[in-house]
Amino acid sequence: MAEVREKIVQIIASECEVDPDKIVPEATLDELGISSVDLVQVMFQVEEEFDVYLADEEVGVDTQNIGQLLDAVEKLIKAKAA
Amino acid sequence: MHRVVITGIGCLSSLGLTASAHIDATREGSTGVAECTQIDPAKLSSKMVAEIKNFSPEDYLSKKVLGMVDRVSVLALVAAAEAITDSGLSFDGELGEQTAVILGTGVGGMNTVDDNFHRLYAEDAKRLHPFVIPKLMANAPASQITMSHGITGPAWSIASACSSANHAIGNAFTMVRSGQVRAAVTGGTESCITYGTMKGWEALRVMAPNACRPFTKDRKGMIIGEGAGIVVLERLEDAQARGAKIYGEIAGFGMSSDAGDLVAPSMLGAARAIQNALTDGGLNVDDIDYINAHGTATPANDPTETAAIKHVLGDWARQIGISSTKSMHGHALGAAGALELIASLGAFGGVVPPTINFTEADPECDLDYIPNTAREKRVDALLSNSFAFGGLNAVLALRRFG
Repeated sequence: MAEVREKIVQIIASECEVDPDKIVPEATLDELGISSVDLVQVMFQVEEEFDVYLADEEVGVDTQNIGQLLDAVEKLIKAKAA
Repeated sequence: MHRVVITGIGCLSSLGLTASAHIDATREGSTGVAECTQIDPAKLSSKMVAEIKNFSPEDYLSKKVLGMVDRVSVLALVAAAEAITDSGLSFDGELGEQTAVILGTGVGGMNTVDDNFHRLYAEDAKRLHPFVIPKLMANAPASQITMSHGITGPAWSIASACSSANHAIGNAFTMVRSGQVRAAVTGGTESCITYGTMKGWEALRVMAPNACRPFTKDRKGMIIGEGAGIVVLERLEDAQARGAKIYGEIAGFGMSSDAGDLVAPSMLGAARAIQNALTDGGLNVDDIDYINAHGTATPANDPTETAAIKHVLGDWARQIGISSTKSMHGHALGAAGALELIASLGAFGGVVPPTINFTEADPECDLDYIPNTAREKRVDALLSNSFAFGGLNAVLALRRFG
């Protein structure tokens, strides 16, 4: 799953123009200056990359920090592999 | 009531990437028409279009902005930046709140519609990019201009097909004149040289196979173009107080609707818009020295427009110069009026742009269309005509300043 996390961090860094070193699980989206529309763009790229569907209840307006985003995507990828 | 002047101009068209390049090219009688590059011309029955050439959006806009916008907004943003820089205005503080952004576009973000719906329908894509809607909405160009210049006054888009830009500029003019706002950034933008749109135009059978020849006997129709033209309007007293360069004064604005056929033009509808512009501007017919015609080169438009000009101007119609600069920059639809207004401003410099590709005169079009070469002529007042599908007519009346 380490590669998955790394890839997601890369997507966030490129879509939101954020320094990848600052993209750690405890960082909040606010701290990183990631707006709701940036998050939507990240979700789109993650879906394209991993061929998953992020439902609103998994990631969306309630997502506060990077950890929640990483966990949600990992969960979906595991479910898909199973 | 305030007098309203143009203090900034910006333009991107098939004739050039700046307003001065556009004006110079229209004076030289250049053509912006060439074989289509945005779509495979083999798939088109009319392969000639008036596309913007040698244009790299990345030279003007950041990657972040480019990811959020359709080409229709790219063109508007680049032309607006040129016009605003040219005006010397900045919109910090109160002026930003007292400035309007009103933009015309015929169809909005058609490149986004075409590309993304193709992915859904033809490629069975499961999802679309999240910015499809923000990119395609018709108000996106106006909104993007407000965002990039911090303009927080009234802003919206106007859609009236080929009259969109004239309706937008006229609307902005009346707002500045009435005192509702102090300044306005206005004009039109269009970028719909897409496969879907071009096939739609093809089906109407109004497209010329090779060249746009307005008012000539062998005219075959229009050539689709693209572009954006933006002007900055402000009160005369404000412009004078800050010593701004003044390109001309908008004297009047006239509108009408035909309430007739959706696509066939009406002589009386066009004539009423011309008369309304003169009346609104306090101009007599013999004040007019030049008319930038709608002049699409379709069989129906040109004799109807000629008859409308004669209907309003009477014998004076034979004393003036009339040209269709669409012969050079193509028909940029929702941007057309703005490209033509900017070309017309060149006439205040003493050189009236021609109608190029003029071959044999049509007996039904019997006025002076300034065939093929520009003419030196003093112009003190002019009209710029737009008559749209849907029967929506909008005419601007301009006066030389100084």
